[in-house]
Amino acid sequence: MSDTPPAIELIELQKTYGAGDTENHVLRGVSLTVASGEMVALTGASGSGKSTLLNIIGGLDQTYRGEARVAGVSLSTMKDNTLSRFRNRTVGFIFQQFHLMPHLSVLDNVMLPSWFDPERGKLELHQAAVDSLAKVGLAHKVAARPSHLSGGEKQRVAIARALFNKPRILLCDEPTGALDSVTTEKVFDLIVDLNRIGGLTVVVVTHENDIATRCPRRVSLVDGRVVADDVGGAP
Amino acid sequence: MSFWRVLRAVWQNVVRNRRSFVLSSIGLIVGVATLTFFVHLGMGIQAGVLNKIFPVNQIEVEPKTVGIAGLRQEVVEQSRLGEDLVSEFEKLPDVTRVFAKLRSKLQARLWGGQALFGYAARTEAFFDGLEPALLVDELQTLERVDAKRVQEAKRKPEPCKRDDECRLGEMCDAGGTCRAVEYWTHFTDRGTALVCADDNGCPPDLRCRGGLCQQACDAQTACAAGSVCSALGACEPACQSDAQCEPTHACDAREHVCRRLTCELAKPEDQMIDSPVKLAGQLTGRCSNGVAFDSPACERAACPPATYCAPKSAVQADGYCEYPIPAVLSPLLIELFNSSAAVSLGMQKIDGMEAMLGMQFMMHLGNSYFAADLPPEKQAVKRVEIVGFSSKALDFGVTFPLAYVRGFNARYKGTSAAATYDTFILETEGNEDVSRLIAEIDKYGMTLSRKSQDAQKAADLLFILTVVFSFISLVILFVAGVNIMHTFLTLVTERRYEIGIMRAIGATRADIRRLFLTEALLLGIFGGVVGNLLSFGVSRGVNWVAAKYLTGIPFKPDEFFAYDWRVILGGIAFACVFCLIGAFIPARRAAKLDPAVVLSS
Repeated sequence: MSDTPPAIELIELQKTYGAGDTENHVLRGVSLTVASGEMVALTGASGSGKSTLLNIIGGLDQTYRGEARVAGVSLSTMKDNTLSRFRNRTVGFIFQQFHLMPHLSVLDNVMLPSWFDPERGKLELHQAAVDSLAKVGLAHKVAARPSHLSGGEKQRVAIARALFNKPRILLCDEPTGALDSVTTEKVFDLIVDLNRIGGLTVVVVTHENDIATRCPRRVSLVDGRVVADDVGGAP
Repeated sequence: MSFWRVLRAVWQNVVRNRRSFVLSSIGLIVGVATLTFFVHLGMGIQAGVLNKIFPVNQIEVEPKTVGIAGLRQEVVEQSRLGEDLVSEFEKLPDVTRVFAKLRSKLQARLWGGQALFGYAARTEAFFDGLEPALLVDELQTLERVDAKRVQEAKRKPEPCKRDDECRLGEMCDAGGTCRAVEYWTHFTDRGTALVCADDNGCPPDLRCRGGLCQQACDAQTACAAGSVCSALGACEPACQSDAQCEPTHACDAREHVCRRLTCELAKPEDQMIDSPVKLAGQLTGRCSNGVAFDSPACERAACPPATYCAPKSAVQADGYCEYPIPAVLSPLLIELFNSSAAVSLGMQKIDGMEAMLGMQFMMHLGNSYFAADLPPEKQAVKRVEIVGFSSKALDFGVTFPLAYVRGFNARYKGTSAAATYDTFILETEGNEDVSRLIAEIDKYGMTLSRKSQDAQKAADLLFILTVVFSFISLVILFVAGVNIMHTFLTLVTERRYEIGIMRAIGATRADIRRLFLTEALLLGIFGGVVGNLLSFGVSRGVNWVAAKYLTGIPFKPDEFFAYDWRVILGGIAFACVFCLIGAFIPARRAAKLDPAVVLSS
């Protein structure tokens, strides 16, 4: 493990909104290293900067000071093209509101990343999408529309979409925030399995303690600073 | 994103938002339809009407005039306006052909038209001469259209033996059935017997031989192939039998040359009466039943069919068999007759120009309502047949083939009156810069004729109207573009989460922009195509209405529109451009959307 570079390496990240009197410090010097294959929960009150941190790791936000290296590459100076490709290939996103395309079938939703990746053949894509759906246990819902799925199923489709391009890192922003407790269990079990069995590096932003405690490592943020970094104690 | 991927994604979006897609295309459709409709109409009017009345590639020039003591005086001498000027004009750049136009220099009267008007009309005759080559295309095209109308009536063929058993406008063909005459073929120099006393009474290239103006020859000058220099000193067509000569000629048994058939009327006054029977005349020295002329059983032969006996002068009974002089009328004349003269004189209106084809009138040369008459022995009566209509014909008068007018001018006003022309029609390669040509002809003391100036004005007016309507349609397209901008701004807001998620899973800013611009482009193509279809449908409707309700108007074309694929593609292109302009700002806004902000909210 010591040979492979860390999956995520954040050094003194600072981010502010606005300027002057209305200046709002979101991150006040966050340094964090996540090893490949780790599963980390980012916790904190709303406004603590945990989502911002996730967006920076995922290459959705470039307006910060400090250094963010993900999968061995530095993100701050990347051009839009390279950064888009990074998001397409290296990371997978899951959101609280699922964000599926309402007018596309489940299969097309899963294949969505391939739109922006012209290098793969069509047959292969189709197979990969079916495989992805099989991993989340929805191979039978290939032709369904998102509007006909339950909340848990929607999130599983979103996970299949995130896995489609076989990313190294899975970034989850309140993945179970919109789900009831039973579904939450099932969906989170799936994410845990992806980490344990699949070896995927997972970062979960959550304000739910139940979820956080199931992660091997928990990083707590308060007002843009890391206040706790607990390892172990997971069930 | 690959091209096909973009197209598929856009198509899925269009299907999803089909209602807003169709609604926002309405402005485009109306704009494109208006644009293509008026451009096609302008081009159709240019091609179907203007070019027929004033062909763009034919401009008429006449000598410039200056006002001296209240009189218009031409700045070039009349003697310069001859064949030399024609060949100089032919050398001008851009000029392909030059046609001379000659006005009559003698007084004449016209009467006839009993069948058409109800009673014989009388009028002073003004006429001019044009080279047949200038008119044949126009005459032929117009007559073909008329012939089509006759066929549409679908009448059974009627058997016949003689032309007068057929209806007007038909002739008895060899098979014994009535068939439409192609009158335009008559507009050519069919020959008239130019009676003369001496050489000054013949056109410049002819001499007086045997009492007729003929091609002169002597030992030095040879005749054209097929002709021989006869004892009269004239080039006359060689022959062995009558069959080798024109129908109006017969083979002279001794000299073996074709000579005009001579004929005579019962009495000189008969030529004043519009009666086909009396004008058939009787051939001198011929019997129709083949017996000897002096035999009591001789039945006197008449002039061949379609010809009449034209006496040498108004007081003589003897003359030559001739075809009627082919004449072309201006459609303007018919229109004026119908709209004013027919009403005020209580005459029947002329229903369609084709009704006049084949009508014959009498023309009394040297006799006038206005000017002093020539001595009766110099007057002559000729028959005139209407063979077509042309905008190039004299507006208030008749137009004959040039050769007839030259002959009459020479006969009544001397050789010099036939040596020069009055105006010239210059035919150019295409639609070139007319002003350059005007500058060229200005050096010869010539200028654009009134009619050509009117043509220029009409073309300019049409151009301005087309531009104005095109501008209006561009305004419609602009408004449609603003509407599209609004629609797309709404779309960007509606789809902000989709844009965010696409960005999160690898879409570049360019991908997002491309998606919206392609959707706009698709909208433009859709609006452009439907707009063109709408414009086509409406134009067909206009044509149909015009064909059904606007009948009997001269110059009314069957087709008001000239379709051009460049205009069709241009309409689509305009629609696309306005769509892209309208979608540009929304697409840029979509591309700049911060996915982190959108997805966290």
